[in-house]
Amino acid sequence: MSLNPATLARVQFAFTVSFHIIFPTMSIGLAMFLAVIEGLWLKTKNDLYLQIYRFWLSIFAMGFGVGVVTGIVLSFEFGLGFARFAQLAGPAIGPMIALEVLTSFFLEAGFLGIMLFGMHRVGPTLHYFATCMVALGTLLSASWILSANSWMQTPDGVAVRNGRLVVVNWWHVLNNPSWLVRLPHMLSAAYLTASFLVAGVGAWYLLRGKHLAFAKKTVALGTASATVLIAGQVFIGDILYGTMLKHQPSKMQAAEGFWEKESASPAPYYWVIAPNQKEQRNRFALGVPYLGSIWLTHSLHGRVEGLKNTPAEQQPIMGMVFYGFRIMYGIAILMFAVATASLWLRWKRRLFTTRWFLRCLVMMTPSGIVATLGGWYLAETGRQPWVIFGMLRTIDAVSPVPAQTLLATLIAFVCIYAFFMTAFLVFVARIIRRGPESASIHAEASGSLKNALRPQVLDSPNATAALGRVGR
Amino acid sequence: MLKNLSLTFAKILGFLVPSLVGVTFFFAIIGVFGLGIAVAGLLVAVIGAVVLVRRVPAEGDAR
Repeated sequence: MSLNPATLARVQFAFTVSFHIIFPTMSIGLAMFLAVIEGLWLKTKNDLYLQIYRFWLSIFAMGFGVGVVTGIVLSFEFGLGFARFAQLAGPAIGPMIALEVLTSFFLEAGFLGIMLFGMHRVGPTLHYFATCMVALGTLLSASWILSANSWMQTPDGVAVRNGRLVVVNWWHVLNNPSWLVRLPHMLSAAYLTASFLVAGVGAWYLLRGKHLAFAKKTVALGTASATVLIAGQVFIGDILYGTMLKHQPSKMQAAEGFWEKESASPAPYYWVIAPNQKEQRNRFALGVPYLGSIWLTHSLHGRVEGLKNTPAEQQPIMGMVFYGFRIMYGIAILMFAVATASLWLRWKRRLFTTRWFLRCLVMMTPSGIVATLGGWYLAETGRQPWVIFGMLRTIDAVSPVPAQTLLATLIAFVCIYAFFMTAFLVFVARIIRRGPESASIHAEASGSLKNALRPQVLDSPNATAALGRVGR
Repeated sequence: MLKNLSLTFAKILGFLVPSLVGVTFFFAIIGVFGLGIAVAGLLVAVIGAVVLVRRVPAEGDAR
């Protein structure tokens, strides 16, 4: 069997970017969560907030580290695996990636050290400022990357002259038709991910009867933020659906699982399909009657557009797009249900004692990550066969690299990333098993701005006591 | 017997009420009843959730 370089390049990029997106999603969400928690600590002086901060700071730091390392790989892959894409799109997305490094990455890198180790040196207020700057950095990073990716989905502000892409309007490149809808969708996804992570770990402690004060506070905070966020996310998601239907109809046609130019009336909402791309039909489809018309056309008998509206050579692979969307949407519905249940239980004052609900929260711990992955599969596979929608096909963007080279690097990536993931999971599991009481001493407050100029790092009575414990 | 019936009824109600409220809000927010109602539904859901979270401190029911 001969290996196809184009397929290998795509599999390699899909694998590395899927792995990477897990960590920025957590970092963006946890950075904002940490900023809120530290703000609450400064406002209330309740040490429980400091304990929560210290506990999640360790996990955030590890996720941030893995995210940075795996993100750098992607920039190289543009050139190594997709040279024609880098050559053509460079004038538009190159500056955005450079600006991401200049603004957000410098901001994050500059303040992360203070956030992790600086409280004894700079004091709580400046430390809080550093935490906010890191959170702002992650937000800016998401903005630049989303702008670049949205430009690939809905390119604007450029013209092709003599086979080269020329930027004619920078504002249109940056503020392309989908950016301002996709950005809040991604940010909400990251904040929801953090909310369910935090609530899930708290629920696990509650079920085991451990660290009760910490657990109750984190379950209360996690479910409260998830409740507000999921309502906004569902709303933004619907707006985004309309935007993509306008600019990338083939993606949304594939996402709904209909083939014919118009569906039956009333249209069902499919949850399971077995599509046959070659014959342009579903071998099998299972759905809820009427729901497709109600949800997608907002009427009882509306018809939904099918994928045959797009020429066969320009169609994405329906199965991948459909299931990416269903995973994301299905989890969003589950999140909405959990949020509603949490409000009801809070009202009945049974939030911490209802064991089925706590088990649900534990199971929902990684839900944000899985939903984000599903959403990105929808976005990226739905754009196919284009890498820049309507301008450059993916197959034409691939570098002339031998298949063996791509296979070797793919195997290397799988091995290295498997090591990263194992190490990350082992350390996170260890932190969670140990509990919040044994979180790092680095974030304890005792310093001031003057301390920043002094060589001593551990200068507080608490830190000295902690050192004593280590010494014993 | 009556007490058991009452408990069962309370459980069913405890399942039905939040389910109905949740489904109604979900349908409203995704725009089934129009954009105006979607925006109104979103505002009511968010403000309602914030008010409820602030008024009913969950940590108060420590048992």
